[in-house]
Amino acid sequence: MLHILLQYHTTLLHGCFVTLELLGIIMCVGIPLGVLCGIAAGMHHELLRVVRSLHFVSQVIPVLVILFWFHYPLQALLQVSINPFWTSVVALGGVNAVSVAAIVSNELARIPRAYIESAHTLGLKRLHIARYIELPLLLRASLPHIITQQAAMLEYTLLTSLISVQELFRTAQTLNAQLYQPVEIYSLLIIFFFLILTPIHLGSRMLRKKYFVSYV
Amino acid sequence: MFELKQVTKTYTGKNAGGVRDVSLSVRAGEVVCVLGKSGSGKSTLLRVMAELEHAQQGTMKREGGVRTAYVSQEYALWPHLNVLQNIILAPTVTSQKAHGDAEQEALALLKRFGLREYVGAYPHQLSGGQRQRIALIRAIITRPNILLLDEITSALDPMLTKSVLDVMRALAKDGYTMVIVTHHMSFALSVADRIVFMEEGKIIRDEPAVRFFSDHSDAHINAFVQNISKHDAEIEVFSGAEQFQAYHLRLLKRLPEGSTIYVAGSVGDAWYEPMGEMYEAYERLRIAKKISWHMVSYTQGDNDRRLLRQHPELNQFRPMPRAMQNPANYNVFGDTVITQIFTKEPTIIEIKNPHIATAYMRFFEELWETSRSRA
Repeated sequence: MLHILLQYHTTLLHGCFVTLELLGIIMCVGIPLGVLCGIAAGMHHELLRVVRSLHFVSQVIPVLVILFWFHYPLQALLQVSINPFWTSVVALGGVNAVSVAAIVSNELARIPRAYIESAHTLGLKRLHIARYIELPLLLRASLPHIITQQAAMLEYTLLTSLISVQELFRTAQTLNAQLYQPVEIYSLLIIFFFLILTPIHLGSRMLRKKYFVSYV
Repeated sequence: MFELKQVTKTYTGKNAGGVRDVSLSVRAGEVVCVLGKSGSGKSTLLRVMAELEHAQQGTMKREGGVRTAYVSQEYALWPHLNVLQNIILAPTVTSQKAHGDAEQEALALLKRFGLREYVGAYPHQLSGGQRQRIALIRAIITRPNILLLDEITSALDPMLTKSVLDVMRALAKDGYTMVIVTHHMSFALSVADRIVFMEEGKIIRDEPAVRFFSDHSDAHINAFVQNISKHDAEIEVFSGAEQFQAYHLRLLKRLPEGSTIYVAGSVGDAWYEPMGEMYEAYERLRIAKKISWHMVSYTQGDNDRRLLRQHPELNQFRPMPRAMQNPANYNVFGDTVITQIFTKEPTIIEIKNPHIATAYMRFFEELWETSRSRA
C-alpha cells in the first residue's frame, strides 16, 4: 500500500485536491447562501414554505439522480455544455444550500417565542434581540448539524466521479484499472476518508455536547 | 400611572378568547390581582399592557416614561447565558447601567432572595422556583414602573410556589406597582390592594380586596372563590350546618384560654341560627375558657344583648360606623381569618396566613377605634 502511495502520490494528491476543492466551493456556496435563506425563511412564512418544499424534494430524490439531471437533461434543454466540475458545484452546492437553509430555519423556529418576548419587555430592541439572543442560540443549535451536513457533502463528492469529475474516487478507479490492486488502492481510500471524516464527526459531536441548549 | 380605556383584543378560531371593552387604571404603588377562570382574558389583558399584543380598539395611556416589565409562567431565562448574564444583559445593553453597577446590583438582589450561590449557574441547572425568582430579579433590575406577573407560580409545585410568592410579597412591601394574574387566593388576599375579576373577556368586578372577598352577594363569584380556594393549601372551605357548627366548636377547643376573637360585621342573630342546638355547648365552652368576643356589629340581636348582661367581662360590642358598612363578616384569631356566608348553606372560608390575619386585624382595629369615637 505504501509503495502505491509513494509511486503515485502526484496522481493521488491531484485527485485529493480536486475532491477538497469541490468540497470547499460547495461549502462556500452552500453555507452562506443557506444561512441567509434560512434566516429569511425564519422571518417570512412564505419563504419558509419554499425552503421546506425544496428540502423535501432534495430528500426524496437521490443526490445522484439530481446530479445526473443537472448534467444531462438540463444541459440538453438549455443547449449548453458545462464542465462536469462546475455542474457538480451547482448541483451539490444547491443541495447543500437547501439543507443548510432547512437546518437554520428549523432551529430559528425552535427558539421559544417567550425568549424574544421577555427580551422585548425588558427593553431590548430588535437588533439587540437578534445579536444577543437569537444569533447565539441559532449558532449553538445549528452549527453541529451544519458540520454533519458538510461531512455528507464530502461523501456526495464521490458521486461526481460518475459524471467524469476527476476527484479522488475516480482517480483511485483509474489507478486500479491500470494496476489492478484493488485491496491496496481502495484501502488507501478508506484511510483517507477516515482521516478526513472522523475529526469532522467528532467535532460535530463535541460541539453538540458543549453547546447543547435546553429550551427550559 | 397607567390606563386602559375600552380596550378590545380578540382572537379568531376555536376557543378564541381575548378582552372586550376593558377599562383599567393602575396607580403608583398599587398591587392589583386579576382573578378569573381559564380563558377569561387575564393573560391577554397583561400582554396588551406589556405591548406584546396590540389592541384592536381602545387606548392605552402611560404617564410620561412609565415602563413595564412582564414575567410569565414560562420563566424564559435565556439558556445560553448564566444567571448573572441573564440579569445584567438588559440594563447594560440598553445603557441603563454601567456593567460594574449592574453586576453589583444583581449580586445584591441575588443575595437578598437567597440565590447568591447560583450566580454562575445556567438555567437548566436550576429548579423551577429558582428560575422564576431569577426571572423576577431580571425584571426588577431594569427598574420598571409596573411589574406585570402572569401566573408565575402555576407551573411550580407547592414548595417552589411558596419561595416565589415570598419574593412577590417582598416586592409588594417595597412598594412596587404590580398587576398580578394569580389563582392563589391567600396570596391575593395578603398583598392585593384591588381585585379585578374577569369573565369572558370583560371586567366584572374591580374593587378593594377586602370588599371583594367579603362580599358574598354574587353567587357566581362566590362559587369561583370557593372552588379555587379548595386548591390553595392555606385555605379550607366548610359548607353546610354540620360543618359550620363543628368548625366553631373545634375552634374554641384549640384556642388557648383567655384568647380573643375579633368579629367585624356581625348581623344580629345571623350567626346563632346556623349554630342551632350546638350553640349552648359552644357558649358553655367559651365561658369556661374565658374566650372573649370583640365585635363591631351592624345590629345587636337578642342573644347579643343577653350575653352583654350576663357576661360583660367577655363581650364587647360596638356599632359598625355608617361610613364603613358593607355586607361583610369576618373573624380574626391568631394567624387565621374566617369569612362567613349566612345563606341556606352556611359556609366558612378559613384562611390560615399570618400576613392576611395581620392585614385584617389592622382593618378591625381601625373599625374598633372609629366605633369607639361614635359609641
